[in-house]
Amino acid sequence: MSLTVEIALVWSAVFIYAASTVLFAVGTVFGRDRLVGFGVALAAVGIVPHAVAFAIRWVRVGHAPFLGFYEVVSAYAFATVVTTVLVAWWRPQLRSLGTVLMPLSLLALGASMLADKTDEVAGGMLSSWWLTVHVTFAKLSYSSFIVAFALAVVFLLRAKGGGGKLANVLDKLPSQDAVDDLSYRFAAVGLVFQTVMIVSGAIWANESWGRYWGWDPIETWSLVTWLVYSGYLHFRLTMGWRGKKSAWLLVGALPVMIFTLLVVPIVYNSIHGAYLRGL
Amino acid sequence: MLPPAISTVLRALRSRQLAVSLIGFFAVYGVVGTIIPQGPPDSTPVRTWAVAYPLAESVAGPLALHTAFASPLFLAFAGLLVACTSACAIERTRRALMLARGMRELSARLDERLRDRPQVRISATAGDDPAAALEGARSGLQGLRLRLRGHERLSDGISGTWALFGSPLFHWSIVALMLVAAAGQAMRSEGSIGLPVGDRVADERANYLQVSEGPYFGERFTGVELIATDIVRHFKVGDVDYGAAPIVAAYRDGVKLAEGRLHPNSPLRAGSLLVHMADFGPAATLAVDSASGGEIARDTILLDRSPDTSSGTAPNEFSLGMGPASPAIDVRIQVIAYSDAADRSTTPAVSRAIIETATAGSGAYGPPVTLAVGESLPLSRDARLLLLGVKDWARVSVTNDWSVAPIYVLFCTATLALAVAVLVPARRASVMLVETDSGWFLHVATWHSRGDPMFRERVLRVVREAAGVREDS
Repeated sequence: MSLTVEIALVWSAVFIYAASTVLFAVGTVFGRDRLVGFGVALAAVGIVPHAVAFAIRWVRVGHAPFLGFYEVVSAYAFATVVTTVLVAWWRPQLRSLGTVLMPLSLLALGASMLADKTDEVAGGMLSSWWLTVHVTFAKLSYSSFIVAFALAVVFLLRAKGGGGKLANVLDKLPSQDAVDDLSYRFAAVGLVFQTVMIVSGAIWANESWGRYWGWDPIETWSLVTWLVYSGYLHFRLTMGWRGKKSAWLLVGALPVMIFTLLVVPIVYNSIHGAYLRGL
Repeated sequence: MLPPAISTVLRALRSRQLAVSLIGFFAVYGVVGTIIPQGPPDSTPVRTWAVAYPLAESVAGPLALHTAFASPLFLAFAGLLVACTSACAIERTRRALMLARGMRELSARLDERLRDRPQVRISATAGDDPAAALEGARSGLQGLRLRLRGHERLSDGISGTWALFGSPLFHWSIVALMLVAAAGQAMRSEGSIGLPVGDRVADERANYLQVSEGPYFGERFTGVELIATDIVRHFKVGDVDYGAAPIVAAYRDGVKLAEGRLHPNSPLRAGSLLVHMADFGPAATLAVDSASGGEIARDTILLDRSPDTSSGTAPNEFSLGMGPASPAIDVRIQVIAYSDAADRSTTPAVSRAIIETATAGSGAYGPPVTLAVGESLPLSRDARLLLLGVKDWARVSVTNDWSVAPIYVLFCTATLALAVAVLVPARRASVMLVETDSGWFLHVATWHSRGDPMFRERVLRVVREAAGVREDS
């Protein structure tokens, strides 16, 4: 199938996600819970053309979407939307988190559409099962951290107080204690996934290059991200930081993760950078 | 009883503030290590940066931040991190043992605490039978997947006691990981060896094209012999081109230890050796013989392919010994028409080489002569230089690191322990039926290792349902 069909499908996903984002925003700001529900449904609908576009590309280029800015960032946008829908299905009370998550995925997908969409052929270096494990757990950790971030934002918005329609919508979420605990649980599971991502990357590096760790900028920044979330766990579990302090830590940690995933490979001339810059 | 000074040090090392400070330090240090160019002081990026940022260089230079992850500052803090994590691991183990013992035992203290100082009291007189309320609470706690024990008046449910050891195990794994990784780095060697097709080359210092060792490697080259038997220029599996891929075998004392085709993601393991394919090129075998037919000298020269063409090399210079009686000669050789038609090559008959010779050290090369395999070039009246053959050679990288296998095990242990520590909570919920002057009550206490407020709510919900009441008393 051609690149044109694929791009047309991704553009249709962009428009559906945009509509979903508007519904989430309007529903949350004006206290219309039904609109938030429609936002979730529309996000779920948008997943279909996005997934089909990935499938078409996968068949054509012979590898999963892990090579080049267009594929990688689009895949992160996809992971965010899937996470939004899954969280809404798992805990309907949490569906208004889409108000935070959908704009992020829309931004990411929009940025990916501006990038070069040329097919990239994966060479022998990238033909490894460790790559599958590494990339899968990178996506899972990102998804967990972004939900933790959204929960922290919601916690802080509610802690700020004030009435109005926004407060009415936020009141439909679980209690502040529950939101606080959920944000911790998502961050903790994200840290476990990130650990698997780093460990699988180290094992793969040893298989490919004969060394499991080389202080490459992306390796180092992955460790920095891991340390930031480990620090969060230490502050929370051993120093008793809960509530606002804990939420602010999570809000501050996500940019470090995004910087590691999407900026470091572009800024630094690293052996790892090919995954985002292309081969 | 430890001396006061040691106790003070241990207390400082296991302090939570120190732990989070070290985590913060390494996060910031990691960022600094990626901002400041890394490399030897005379490398171009480092020199350029030093000129551009003299003030920053006045700090980075003395602190050896251009080799940030091997600098004394980094190593000192890494040592402190090991000590701090060890102290934390000891403390966490002690605490986990204490908590686990407390959870496993059904002590008289629990009875006393529940009777006199419950966290929540729920009236059990709403129904007809207070004992039935306790029985209902028991069922409710079982529904929360708690393992129950107790006596006539008490129901005590626990779960995840084993998970208390997740955090200590994680910290011990991290300590072991740091120590094993440090020992492995200090005792490893890594370098590249050239393997002309069909020749056996031993893992010995003299055979390395270049090699770097840790300070405690101690000349522990294994002597394992490597032999490349075939080089496919484009090894393909399906549509994936893995590039040049030799079959390499490893022998010790004539016994084959391992054999495999080397390509990306497919190294060869032989004991502590890990062999990766790096590159390939032509190897020219030259000999000098006398007019009487006796061979004076022979050498196989490993040549790098020219970046401009896949079928030849740039000119390479080397010195060829002529035996004890004659001075060596300098040879400049450029292999051309290097089996460019073949996908697989061992001794390509089509190969030719342009050869020039000079008296050693003179730099005055004679006119270039093109030789085919088997042809010769006269050096003097009674000696000639023969091109005996051109064949492929594989440049393989060889790493000798015993620590990789234990590090993999520790990686897995640390990951599993972390997952248990943060995802599997230890839980306890105790319900006691107590008679007071104002009636029967269910006294409730809950404990959750993570402090999950939802657990307490769930326990209270099932106890209230069992007692048939809606509000706490």
